[in-house]
Amino acid sequence: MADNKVPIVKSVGLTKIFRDFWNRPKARAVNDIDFDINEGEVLGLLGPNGSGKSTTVKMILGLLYPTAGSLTVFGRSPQTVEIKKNIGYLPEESYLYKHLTAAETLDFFGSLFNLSKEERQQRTEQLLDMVGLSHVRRRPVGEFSKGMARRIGLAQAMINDPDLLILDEPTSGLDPIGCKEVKDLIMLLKKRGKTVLITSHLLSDVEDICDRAIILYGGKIRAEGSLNNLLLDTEASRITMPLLKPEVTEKVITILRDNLAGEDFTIDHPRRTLEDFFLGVIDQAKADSVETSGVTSGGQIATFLNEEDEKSSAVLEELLDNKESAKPSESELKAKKEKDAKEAGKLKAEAENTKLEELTAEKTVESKEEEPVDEAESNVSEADEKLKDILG
Amino acid sequence: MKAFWAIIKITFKSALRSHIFQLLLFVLALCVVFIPMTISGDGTAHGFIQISLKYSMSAVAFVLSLSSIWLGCQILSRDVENYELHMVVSKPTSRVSVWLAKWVGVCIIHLILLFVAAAVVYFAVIWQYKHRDFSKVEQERIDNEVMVGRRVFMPTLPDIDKLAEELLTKEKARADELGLDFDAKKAFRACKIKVSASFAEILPGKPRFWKYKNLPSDEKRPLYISYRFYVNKVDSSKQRLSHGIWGYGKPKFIEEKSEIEGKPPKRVFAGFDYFKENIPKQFMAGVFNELSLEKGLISPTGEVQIIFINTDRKGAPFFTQTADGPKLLVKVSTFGENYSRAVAVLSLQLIILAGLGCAAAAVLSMPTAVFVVMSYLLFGSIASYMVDTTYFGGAGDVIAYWVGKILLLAVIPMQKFEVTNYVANGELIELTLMGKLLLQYFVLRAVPFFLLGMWLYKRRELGLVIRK
Repeated sequence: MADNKVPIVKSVGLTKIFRDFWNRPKARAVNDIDFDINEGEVLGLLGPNGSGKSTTVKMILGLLYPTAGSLTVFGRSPQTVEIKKNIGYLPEESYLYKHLTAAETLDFFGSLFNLSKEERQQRTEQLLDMVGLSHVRRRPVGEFSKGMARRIGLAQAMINDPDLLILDEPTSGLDPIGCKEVKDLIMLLKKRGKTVLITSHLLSDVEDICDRAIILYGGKIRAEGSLNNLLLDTEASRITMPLLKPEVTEKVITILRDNLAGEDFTIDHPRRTLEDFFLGVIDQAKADSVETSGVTSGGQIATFLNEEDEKSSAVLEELLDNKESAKPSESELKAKKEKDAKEAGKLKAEAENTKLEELTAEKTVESKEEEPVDEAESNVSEADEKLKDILG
Repeated sequence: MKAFWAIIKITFKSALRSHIFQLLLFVLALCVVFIPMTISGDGTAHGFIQISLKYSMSAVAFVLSLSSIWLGCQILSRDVENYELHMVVSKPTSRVSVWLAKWVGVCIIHLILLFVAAAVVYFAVIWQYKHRDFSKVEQERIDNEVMVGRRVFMPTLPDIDKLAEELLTKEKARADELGLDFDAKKAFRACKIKVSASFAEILPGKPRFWKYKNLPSDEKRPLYISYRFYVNKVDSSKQRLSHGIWGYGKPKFIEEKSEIEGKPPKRVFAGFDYFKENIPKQFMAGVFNELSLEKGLISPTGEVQIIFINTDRKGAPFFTQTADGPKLLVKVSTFGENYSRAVAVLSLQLIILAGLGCAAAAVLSMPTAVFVVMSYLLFGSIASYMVDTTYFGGAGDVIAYWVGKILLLAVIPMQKFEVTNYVANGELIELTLMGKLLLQYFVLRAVPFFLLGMWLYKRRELGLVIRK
């Protein structure tokens, strides 16, 4: 998807060696890495502690200087002041001025972007509302809980409506609602053609929102690519379908046993993720008007972040052109969900009498609706064909 | 500019939250309020006002100087150590403007405090002057000697080298006569010391003569002499009351007939007539004393001549130093104007100290930066004394002199900014002195350090320190 995109961050042979007081090499935090971050993509930078993630981020921000190699951001040196107009940064911990209130913090960072007073006030209000901190706008940031500090940190990172957003552990310390809001926000920014770089230990978050991931270890890139390429297991198949009657299940098992020639296979019930379940419970509680004294769920996305500018419209258009089937609009999604539900219901009713071939055909239709994934897709089709043959 | 002002504003807020700064503010408030109210003085009215002024201003200058160094160091280094600077420099704000904004912030906060403190001290002193029960004579003395701006004229120094050469010639002739070995270099040094010492010493019953030049010949107001003599040796302890007779050269005029007929004869200056007072004047040795001179002692050429005879009753010699004068003082400005100049000099001092703090903290941690600035100032102070040496007893003195000279190329002797004595003694703080302080110490010494600090701050890598 990003092949025809302009690289916003380009690193060639990037190396960072930390030295001691006597200038002797102490640690090679980043070791000769090459990578690009393309316009409009969400990139996950993953790795265990000490793998060089933060050092790479700090070099992108111009806080640390590369020992060797080259690094450009928006085509210029990371130390260039002008490029920072287009960058938003959420550090891994709250590095905000603790004595400033939430509103003062946003106003201060807005001033650093030379925003007018009116604009600062407007954005401050919208962002506080968006991150659910409007009711603590006059409380010093130093008194915030970790989750609240993440939210205000995220708000300050968005004050300039950045083209490149660097989020260091964005969901760390957030409750599942906050995590979902952050992920929604990132998806929205992606839709608007913004570029997002995320470093995180919470791999499920990265999996949900990233287009691409880079895995670092010992300062070197160990794996890089789109999540589909990295995660798809083309050596196994999975079929999801409505609940089968025991005798049908037995039949399927028999067919599989006969055809898999002693290879292991499992049939079980799909599980919802705990996150989905939790969000469902909270949504129900909200619908029942249960009150909370904690952070309120974020309000609407800040208007200025939702505004369609020419550039983002163009990017959005492009995205829609390229992946219309993969990225339907919200109304389309809703309509599709309703249709799927109806079809699922219908299928359930007819399940007993429907042949497995028909079910397989239905699965093929579903897989067609999924995002096309080049080589991986052909592997899936092959697998489907094989299954068809097996099932006779 | 919005970003610049935002950083200045946050510097204010950070400063006001610093406990050390709060403590220094409290001490400042104590100095400003209590010193003028609790000073008892030396028993004289003018001494009381002098001490009030001197102590209050010195205390204000000291507290604010400490505070500006501390805050300058803290404001920059804490931001780096707490990683708050990460957030600022990841925004479109150059590090140079961050450094400048923080320095300006520290300066503004201290200048505001200085102006407020100086205004309180000023009005407290004026209030005491008006509301204390001083006699008319005492008030007049305060008007003439303290609450005034008087230009200082120092006596012209004799050519010590020339006099030493003359003495050397005599010594050589004597040595030749006696057939002794004569080391000209060594002898010259000895002659010079002897001549210098002779000018520092006033033997009992002997007169000393001082000449002052370039005075305003049309000055009709009384002149003042400020002097400090030591009895027996230059040591502030074991000093006592003593006596001496003062004498003056009064300009002498002769009438010269005009070549044009009918025109009145011209009055032409023809040197000085010398006269002395009949009664010896008592003075306290080891401290500055003042003496008012009668009018009309300035010659048309702007010259004044003064004589002093040692009449110490125990026959002890008097000693005086070059800096002690006697100084001749001529009123040229008001107290308010002189006081404003003192505040201007103190402002410059605070600006420099805050800048040095910021420059050091640009690359060092807080305690190290404070230590470096304090050491720098200490070196400046010591170097200044090393260079002021006039007596070279051996190689050590010469080395010290040159080390001092070299050090002074880089360090700033902050005692040069000490102007509270000037104000308390009613001595004018000359614009030339202010200009010299500005150019020599701010532009040529401090600014290069500031630039170095900014450069290091710009080059500094952030995020190297592991955050606790």
